[in-house]
Amino acid sequence: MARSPAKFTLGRKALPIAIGLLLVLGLTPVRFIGWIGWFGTLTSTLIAPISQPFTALSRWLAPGKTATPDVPVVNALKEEIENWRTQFLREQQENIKLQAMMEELYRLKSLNPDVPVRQVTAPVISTSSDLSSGLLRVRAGEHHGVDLNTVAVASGLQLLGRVKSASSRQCLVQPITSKSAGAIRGRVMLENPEVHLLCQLDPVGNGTLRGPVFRPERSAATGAAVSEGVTLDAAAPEPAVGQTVRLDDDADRWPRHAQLLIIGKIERIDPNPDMPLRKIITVRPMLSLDRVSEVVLRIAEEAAELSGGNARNGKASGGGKP
Amino acid sequence: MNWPLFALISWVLFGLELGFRDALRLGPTPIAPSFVVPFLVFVSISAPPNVLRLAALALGLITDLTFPIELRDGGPAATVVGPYALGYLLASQLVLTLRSMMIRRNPLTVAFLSVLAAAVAQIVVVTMFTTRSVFGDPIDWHPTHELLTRLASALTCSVSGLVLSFGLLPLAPMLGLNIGPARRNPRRV
Repeated sequence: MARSPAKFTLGRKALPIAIGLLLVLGLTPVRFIGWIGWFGTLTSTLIAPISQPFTALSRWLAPGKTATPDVPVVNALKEEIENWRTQFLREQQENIKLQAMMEELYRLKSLNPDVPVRQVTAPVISTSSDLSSGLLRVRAGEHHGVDLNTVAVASGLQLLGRVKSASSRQCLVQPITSKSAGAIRGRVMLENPEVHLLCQLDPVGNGTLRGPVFRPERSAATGAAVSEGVTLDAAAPEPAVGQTVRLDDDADRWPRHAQLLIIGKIERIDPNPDMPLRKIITVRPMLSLDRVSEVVLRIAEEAAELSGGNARNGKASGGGKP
Repeated sequence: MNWPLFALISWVLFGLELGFRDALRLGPTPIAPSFVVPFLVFVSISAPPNVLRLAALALGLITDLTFPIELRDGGPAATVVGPYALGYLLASQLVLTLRSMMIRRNPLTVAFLSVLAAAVAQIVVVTMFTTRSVFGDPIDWHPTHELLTRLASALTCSVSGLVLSFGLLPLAPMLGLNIGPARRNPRRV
């Protein structure tokens, strides 16, 4: 093959100018360089046609596993699988899968029936070129009604995270397990539904969240649980390994329709060395949140109407794939 | 250099970098081999200096643009241009300096230089982000941890470098790159 001449090269002055420009841009505070994000979205859009098949392949090779296999649960699930196997023919498997998905989505919608929510299912098209960033790029954007802080869930009720940036066709989702995601408050679901514990969970960085458990303080006037907690005392119920933790955070941080979504299951309980009456729990989501191949974005209808505006034009109405 | 072919290979490798790299990470750590660095090294061991600098800047810029940064205060994600572009530029200069001492046709050369190039690039990245965090940018940045994990990632580039070199070295003539004369007489007569 003939060698093509090197037509594009850096001139003598161009290199120092480029280095100077990159140094300035590289050290300019983040608040002044928001416009670069547009170029980032453009670059990701150009790479998306090739990165998406590779993402799908990587998720197929190493799917998000269910964490902390609990032996009784695994056994129950195995039994259930056997029941399904004997109950249905192989030809009906595809129908069963679709039916299960519909049921799951229906359950998700019925969690907070009073809050109108539209769901958009979208595939994960890529991660970051630098793996220190846990953000997932998802193929759904403002065009579909997605906005900043739109809640993302994975596989039904598992809370995934929030949208941190949205362009017209793509958005970046920050999983709750990402180190920069910040603290999240959850409710430990006990056997007695009238009693519950709260916990303040911080992402550890290894796919889990960790934090202290406390008892909700009851308001004297209404009897309703208020946000500030008190530590566990001897009479209070104890958290146990395997219990489910659901989102129970302030409405201004997480919208109402996201409340009670599953954060994960308690994997470990440790005593707090500083406060002996306060336990520290480690919670692991049901899935590896950085390995999901598809997410469901929950868009509050009012927000979607506000942000969608002319862009949507009824095109993305309903919960279909974008 | 054949820039359209360079762009095509870069496109595929960035697809791997963004789509497949996280499947190769070691457990929950961000330690994983890069697919772009071996390509940068491959270009740097065989292209003219001006061309390789431009290629390094291009690859670095794309890496920067596809690296959304999470902000600590819950704000929207940000994109910073510079750290990888400068890192790759410096890495290509290192390869340029060392390449006269290397057997360019040997896949082990790409593997070895990938480790060094990735390490240099990551040191530049850590330096720039540490500077940013010192001056108050709301990024969740722990310099020591980042440096150690990134140097470990650099080590894993030897594997991706070795594997990719078998695909890249035969493409050198098509890319218009000179990787030295082929061995004519492998056996002494």
